[in-house]
Amino acid sequence: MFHRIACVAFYVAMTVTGTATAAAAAGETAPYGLKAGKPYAGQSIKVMAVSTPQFTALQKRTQEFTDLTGIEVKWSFVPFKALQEKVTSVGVAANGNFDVVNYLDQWGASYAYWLMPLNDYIARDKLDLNDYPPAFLAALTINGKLNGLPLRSNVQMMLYRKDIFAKLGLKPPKTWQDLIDAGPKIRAAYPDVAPLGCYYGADGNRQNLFAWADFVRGAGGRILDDKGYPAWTSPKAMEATRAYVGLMTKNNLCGAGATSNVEQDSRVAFQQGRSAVLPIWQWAYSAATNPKDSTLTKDQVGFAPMPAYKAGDPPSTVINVMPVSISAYSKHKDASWEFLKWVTNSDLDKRNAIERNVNGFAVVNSVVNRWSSLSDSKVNAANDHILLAAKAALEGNAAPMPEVVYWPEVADLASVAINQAASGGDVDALMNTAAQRANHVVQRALR
Amino acid sequence: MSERIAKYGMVAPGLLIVLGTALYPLVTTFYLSFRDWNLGRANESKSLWLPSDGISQIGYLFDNYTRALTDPAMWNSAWVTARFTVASVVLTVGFALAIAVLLFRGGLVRAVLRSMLILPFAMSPALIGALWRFMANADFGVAGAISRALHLKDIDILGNATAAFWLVLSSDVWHWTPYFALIFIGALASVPKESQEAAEIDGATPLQVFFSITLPQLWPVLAVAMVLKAIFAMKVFDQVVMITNGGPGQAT
Repeated sequence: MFHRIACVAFYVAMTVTGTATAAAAAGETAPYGLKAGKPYAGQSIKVMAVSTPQFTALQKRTQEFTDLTGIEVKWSFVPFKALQEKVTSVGVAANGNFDVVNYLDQWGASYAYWLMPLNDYIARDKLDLNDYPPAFLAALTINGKLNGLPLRSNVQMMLYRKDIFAKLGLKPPKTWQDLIDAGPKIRAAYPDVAPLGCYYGADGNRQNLFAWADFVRGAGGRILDDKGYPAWTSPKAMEATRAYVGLMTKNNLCGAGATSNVEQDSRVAFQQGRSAVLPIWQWAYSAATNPKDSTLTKDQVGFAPMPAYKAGDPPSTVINVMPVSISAYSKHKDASWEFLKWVTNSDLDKRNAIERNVNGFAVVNSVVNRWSSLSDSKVNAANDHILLAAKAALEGNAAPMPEVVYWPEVADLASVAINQAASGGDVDALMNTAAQRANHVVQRALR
Repeated sequence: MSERIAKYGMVAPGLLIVLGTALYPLVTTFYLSFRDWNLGRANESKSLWLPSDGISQIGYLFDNYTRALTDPAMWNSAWVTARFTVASVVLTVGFALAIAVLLFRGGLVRAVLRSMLILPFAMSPALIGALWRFMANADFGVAGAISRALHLKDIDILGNATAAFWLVLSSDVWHWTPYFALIFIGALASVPKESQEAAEIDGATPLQVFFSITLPQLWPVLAVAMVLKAIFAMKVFDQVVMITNGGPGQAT
C-alpha cells in the first residue's frame, strides 16, 4: 500500500517538477510578469534614485525581487537637488555605470537619447498599461516612445485649514474666484494667516510655474504651441497670467514672503500655521500632518483637488512623474527590465502605501502610480482618502509640464518673468520679453 | 649635464601635474567654446561651423561668444558682480580694519574676542547661505517675526531687489570680515611703536597718529587685502545661490 502511495507521490512530484521546468523553459511568466526560471540569476544591477522614504521602503523590500529572480540590486540614493546633475552624468559617462535611473519627467526629453524605449519589452511581455493614468504615461512619452514606467507620481492638490474654513463657514474653494472671495474673511479673522501660501520665487526649480500652468491651461491657453514655440502670449494665456500674478498683487491673498518663497518655504509656512491654503503635491499632506514636521494636526488639514479656473470647469492640475528607466548603456538590460516589472507592479504599489513598517523601517508614504491603487479602499484608508481626491484631479484637466529638450531654458525665462511680475513688474511686458528670448532658445534648439 | 637632467627630472612630475590639471582643462575649454555641446542631446560635441556651411558662414564658429555678449542676463550679472565687488571690498576692509584697531591691544577679553572672531569664517558658505535665507524669510524667519512683533508692514527682504542685494552683501561681509581683521591685527603688531610714540610726544591726537603714522604703514597689507577680497567677491557663488538664487528676478 505504502509502496503504491509512494509511487503515486513520486509520479505526481515528477509531473509537477517537469511541468514547472517546462514552463520555465518555455519562458512562461512568474508573479508580476517576471520570467520564470531565473534566467538572469547572478546578475547585479545598479539603480540611481531620488532619496525619499517611498524608495527606501522599496529598497528594504528588494530581497523579495532577488528571491524571485536571483538578480541583485544595488540602490544609490541622491537628494533631489543634486539628482539632475547626477543622472545627466550617467548619460554623459555612457559607460553603463548605472542600469536604472529615476528622474523628474521634465528632464526626460534631454535624456531620451540615452534611455531605452520600453515599447518592445512592454509588447513582448504584454504589460498592461491601462492601469496608469494617461497623464502619467504622457509625461514619459517622448516622440511616441515610452522611456520609463511611473514609480513616484504626484498630483497637485490643495491643502487647506479645515478648522479655519469651518469656523468661518467657508467651503473648500472649487474655483480660484471662490478663494479670492474668501480671502478678506480669512484676513479679517486671522491677521497673521495668509489666505493662500503663494510661491513666486524663481530658484531654478521653476516651481512658480506649476500653478501658472494650471491658470493658463484652465483659461484655454497653452504654454508652448504645436511647433514647440512659446504660446503664453496669446490673449487667453496672458489673461490667465495676469490673474495668477494678481493673486499677490491685486487680490492680497499671499503671505509676506510670496515673491521670494519657493515651494518648500511655503510648505514650511503652512506647516507653521501661516497660511490657510496651499497648492502643492499630494505627498506634502503627510508632511503637513506629521507632528515631527508640522504644528498642524490631521483635524486641521484638509485636501481637495486644485481650484478650477472657471466655475463649472474641471480642476486644472499639473502632474509630475519620477519614473524608472533603463540606460541604453546598461550591460544588464534584460535584468533591469525584470526589475522594472517588479518594482512597478500593482501589488507593490499598494503595499508600499499601506504598510507603515518595512523590515524595521518606519515609512509614511502616500504616493501611488496606478488607477487601481488610487481607488483602493485599503490604500485610501491608510492615507486619509487623499488618493481619491488625487484620482478626481486626474480625471479632470491633468497634464504634465512641457516635455521638450529645451524646456529648462525656456522655463527659466518664464519663471524669472513671473517672479519679476509678482514683485510689481509689468506682467505683459515681462511675459512678452520672456517669450521673445524663449523664441531664440527654441530656434537655436531646433536649428 | 647629468645634474641638469636630474634637475629637469625632478621638476617634470610637478610640471606634468600642472599641465594636466590646469593647462589641459583651459585649452579644452577654449576649444569647446567654438563647439556645440548640449548635454541634453548628445554626449559628444560638434563643430558650430562645418565646411559645408561655406566660408561666408564662418561666423557660426563664434556663436557661443555672440550669444554671451548679446545676452542681457550676462551683462546684468556683470553689473551686479561689479557693484557687489566694490561694496564688498570697501565694507569688509573697512570693518576689518576697525575691528583690528579695537582688538589689537592685549587683555583677556580682547584675546577671547579675537578667538571668537574666526567663527563666521570657519562656517561653510553654503551653511551661511541657508541660515541667512531662513532668518530673512518674511513668513517664518527672524525678519518676519520682528516685523510682526513691531507691527510693521510686512517686509520681504528676499523679495525686494535692493534689500536682497544688501542681504547677500551683508552675509559676505559678515563671513570675510573676521579673516581680514585677523590679518590686520597681525599687520598692526608689525608697525614700529617708536614712530607712534614720537608722534604722541609731539602732541598728535590718537586719530592723527592713526591716519598719519599707522595707516600709511599698513598700506601694503591693505592693498593685498583689497586685491584678495576683490577676487573672493567676484567668485562668490554658494551664498548667493543659497540666499536668493539670483533673485528676485535677476537682481542678485
